[in-house]
This record gives sequence, C-alpha cells and structure tokens, in this order.
Amino acid sequence: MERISINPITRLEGHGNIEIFLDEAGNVSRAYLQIPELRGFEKFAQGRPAEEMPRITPRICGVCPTAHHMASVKCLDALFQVQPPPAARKIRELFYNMFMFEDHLLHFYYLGGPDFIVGPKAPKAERNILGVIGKVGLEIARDLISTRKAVRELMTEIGGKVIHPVFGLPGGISKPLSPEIIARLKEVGKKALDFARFTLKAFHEIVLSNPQYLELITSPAYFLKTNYMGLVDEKNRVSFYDGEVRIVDVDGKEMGRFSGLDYLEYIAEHVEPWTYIKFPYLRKLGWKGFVDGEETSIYRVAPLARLNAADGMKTPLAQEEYERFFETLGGKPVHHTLAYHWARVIEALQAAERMVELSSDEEISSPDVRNLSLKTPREGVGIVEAPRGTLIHHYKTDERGIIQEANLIVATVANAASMNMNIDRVAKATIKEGRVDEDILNLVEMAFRAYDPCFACATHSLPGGFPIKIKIFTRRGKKIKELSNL
Amino acid sequence: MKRLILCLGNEIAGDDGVGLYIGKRIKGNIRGWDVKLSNKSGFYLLEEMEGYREVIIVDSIILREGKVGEIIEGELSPSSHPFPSPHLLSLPQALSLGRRLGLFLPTRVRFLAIAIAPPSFGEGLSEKVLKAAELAIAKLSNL
Repeated sequence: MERISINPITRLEGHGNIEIFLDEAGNVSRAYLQIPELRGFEKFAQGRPAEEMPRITPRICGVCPTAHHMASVKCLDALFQVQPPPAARKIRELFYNMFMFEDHLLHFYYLGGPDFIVGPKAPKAERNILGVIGKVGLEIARDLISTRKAVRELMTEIGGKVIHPVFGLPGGISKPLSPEIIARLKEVGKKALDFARFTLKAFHEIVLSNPQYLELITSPAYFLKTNYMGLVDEKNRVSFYDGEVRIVDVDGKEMGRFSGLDYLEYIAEHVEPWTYIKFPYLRKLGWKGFVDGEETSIYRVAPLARLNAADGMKTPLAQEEYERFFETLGGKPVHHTLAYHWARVIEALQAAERMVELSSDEEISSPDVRNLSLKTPREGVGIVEAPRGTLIHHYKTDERGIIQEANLIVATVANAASMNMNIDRVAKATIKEGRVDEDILNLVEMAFRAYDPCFACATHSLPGGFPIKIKIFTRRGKKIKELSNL
Repeated sequence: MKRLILCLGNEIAGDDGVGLYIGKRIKGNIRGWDVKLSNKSGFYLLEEMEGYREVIIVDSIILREGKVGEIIEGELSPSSHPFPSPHLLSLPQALSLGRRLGLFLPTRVRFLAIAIAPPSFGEGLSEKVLKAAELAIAKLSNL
C-alpha cells in the first residue's frame, strides 16, 4: 500500500496530519486525519478554584478564547445557581457577537477565502491573503483590518483583554458600560454591519455567480449526509450565546433538544486506536461507524449545522440570506460541506446586526450588572456556540468550589468524524491511479478547512506558522517524493 | 524612536511561558524600550508592533536539533513565502502583509528565543529553561 502524507496541514489552526493510503492500483484505500492534540487539560483543571476557569480555559486556544471564556462563565452561573441581571446578559451577548463577527471574517478572508476568492486551482503562491487582496482590492483589505481592529479594541476595553477576556463573572460581569463605550459600540456596530454586507455581496459576485464554484460546492465529493446540532433561541432561530441545543436528523426533523446536564443523555464519545481524538456521536443511536446517510449517528456542528438545526436567523438581513441559501442549495437540510463558507458569512451578518441591535438597547447602560446571590456550588454546565460549533464546559466541584472534575467537549472534536469522512471521500474522488498533484491535495484540504477546525493551538513558539510538507511513499515505505511550500 | 521588546508565550503550557516570564521580569526596567507581553501570534502581532521602529521578540522555540535551554538570537526578515496559516501566520509573513497594507511597522525585528521541548499543559518553567531565562534577562538588561 502506498502512503501520501500531508503534514502539517496548511491554513489550519494547529498541527494535524493527513495520511492517504493507496491500494495497488494507485487509488485511495482510506484517508485519515490525525490530530496530535495537546492533552490533559481536564487533569490540569482539577484542584483549582472554579472561579479561575474563565481565566484559564481561554488559554487553551489563542484563536477562540472568548468562546471558552463565555462557556466557562455560563458554567459558573449554573455551578453557583445564579442568574445574571438582564443588562449583564445582554452585554455578554453583545460582546460574544463582536467576537463571532471578527472571527468569522478572519476565517472567510484568510482561511477559506483563498480557496474560493482566489480559486481552488490557482497557483499555490497566490492562494493566500495576498491573492485575496489582489481580487477584492487593497482598499477592502485595509477596511477589513480597520474594522476588525475597531471591534477588537472595543472588546479589549469591555472584556479587559481581547485575547483572554476577564470580564465575565458568575452572576454577571465585572463592570457596567460607560456612555462613551456605548456611543463607540453604536458607531463600530454600523461599520461592522457595512462590512458584513459588503462581504456577502462579494461572496455573491465572486463565488455564487461563478458556475464552476457552485458546481464544486454541490459536487458529490463534498456531500455528507449527517445529523446537525446547534443552539437555538425560543423561536428556534440561530443563537450564539444561549438557548437550547437542538438536534435535527439527516432529513432536518427535530430529534432532540437539551440544555445543561442533559447533554450527557445525547452525546457519547467513540475512541479509535489510530488517534487520540474522541469522536462524539448521538448516544441514543449508538456508534454506527464512519458512515453517513440514514444510518449515521454522527452529527455536525458549526455554521452549516447551526443553519440546518434552526428554523431561521435572529435578524432581518441574515434571515433574507438564510432563505436564499436554502433556496439555492435545494432546501433543508443542506449537506454540502463547502456551504459552510456561505453559512459563515450569513452568521457574520447576523452577528453584526445583533451588535447594532444590542448597542441601541437602553438596558445595556444599566449599572446593575452583577447578581451576588451565589449558592453552594456542586455541578454546572455552560454551553455556547463557538465559531467552530457547540462548545460545552462541565465542572464538578466540592462545596468550596474546588474543581473535582472538568469535562470539555470542544467544537472541532464534534466535527472530527465528519472531517475524516469528508477527506476520505474527496481523496477517493480526486486521486486516481496514483496521480497526485498540488491541486488535488488542496481539494482534499478544502474538505476540512470548510469546518474552520482548531486543534489544540495552545502552544506558541517562534516563528509561528507552519511549513507545508507532502511526502509520498512507495508501498514498501520508501519516500519517492517530497513537496514543500518553503 | 519607539522601540519594543515583545514577550510572547502561553503560561499554562509549561516552558512555552518563558517569554512571558522574562517579560514580567524586565517590564519597566529596560531604559528606552517599551515591554509588552502577549500570547498572540502571527497576524495579531501586527497590532502590537504597529508604530514601533525597532522590535525584539522574546519567545520559545522548538528546534529539530538543539538543546533545551539554548538561546537563539537572530533577525527576522519579511518573507515572500505563501501563507500556510493565516490565524497563525508566521511573523515574517505577517510583516510582509503589514507592509503591503501600508502599516507603520518596524524596520528591524530581532528575536531572542529559548529552545524548549514540545510543551504540555502545566505551569512553571523547567530548570534548564529557567536558567536560560535568567541569561536572557541579563542580555536584555544590557541593551
């Protein structure tokens, strides 16, 4: 059996490794995504005061710290059995939408964007942000940077720190918003909304109006029929900060919903010998293997899953685009993995609209932002939608609030089984009789990049970034070719 | 002329926190230099470096060959390499991008890195890295 390695994966937040095994005819026998993640965080958390968790857990990842902070803070609300005042709840949601907006945009322009805006078969040297700038123009790139910067500066002032926010506390937040901050929020919200609308327009003009791209999005190689999961509000609309988790089956029918500790009734984890990652699946269906279709017990999370699991969006412009999305792609649910990119832009639009709505809500100026009626802690669960999908924090403590057990189900892990199946499917469709070139490998990588995965990027060493190395071995294990981006 | 010592790391990833350890020790003590601590990387560092003429990055480094605790010094030059990881864009790539966008970025970026083993979750520095950190602090104090 011949082996092709892609290591490390390009444009991915963390280290990963794809191994593709070829049969004697040079066709793909099986492709694997292996994730050598940092392990042991749950152990690391034991013995620490629960109140420290919202400051510690964001350090798991330098990319989605706000999601960990917020899931952890909500977990503390449950642990100490306290409800934040309405103003605190709204400010948290506002802050969270700011994070969702800037994170989604970063992914669209820097990670996924090069595949579509520049093109999946463009020369390797152009398939990056500079290629994106070449397509959309330098002025837009400056707008992107200035919009994100404005959002992040405000997040720093509200959250204490933008990368590792410290403002969330059990029962509320650390400080109310000043009139000056609220005025800036209104201004930045408008700027963010303008940019989100521009991005959607660009997506339509560059991607959706290109029949080849649309064909690629809807091609069988990128089709995967799974169940879906996402937070919804009381009207079953996409929600990032709170609500109930709703699960729909492969036909889009609701098959369950839960909040808090009930997640244990719905989610179980499967272990494979070739990876440290545990593959979550729907407990009630049992582990059925790496299969899609009617028999699958695998569920997906993140933007496409959230749109499939909901009945609509929270905000008017996002709702319009939500309808266009399903109309264009053949109705609900959409099983095309590359549609994650479009769904992400729709969510960025909702996030920007929510920023505008919430910054104009008079209640956010209230000084009442903390409820101190904390009770003796025992056990709590906090759930938010990270940009990369449903994120669950679960802590058990003693009566002093010292962590005895911690369990984190992170979004990328929930999509791990689907990513493996997608990569396998794309590899089989594109690698024939041993013919492998860089275009084909990029098409394989596109399968997982759509998910915006993030694998244990807690480390931080110079120079940052990753060299790309592709190794091709004979069936006897002899390396016959090595490709690199350096 | 504004000059910056930018200390990077993750303090819950063991020896990967060495940059932050050094930063806390030297902050306010190096005349003529601002000292910032950050756990950001790549693209995010442009925001930290914008407006400075000269920057020294202090960070950990994982070497294929080399000893834990070894101090590596050098100069970063902008890179024309393709960007393999925009969220974790490498520093040379981030500098190239920033200049292309017309940002006011340092004309000289040096680095002082301490070799570590691949880290895992944990607090505090190993003995070898701690010793190297003290040497690094002494070097930076003589700027």
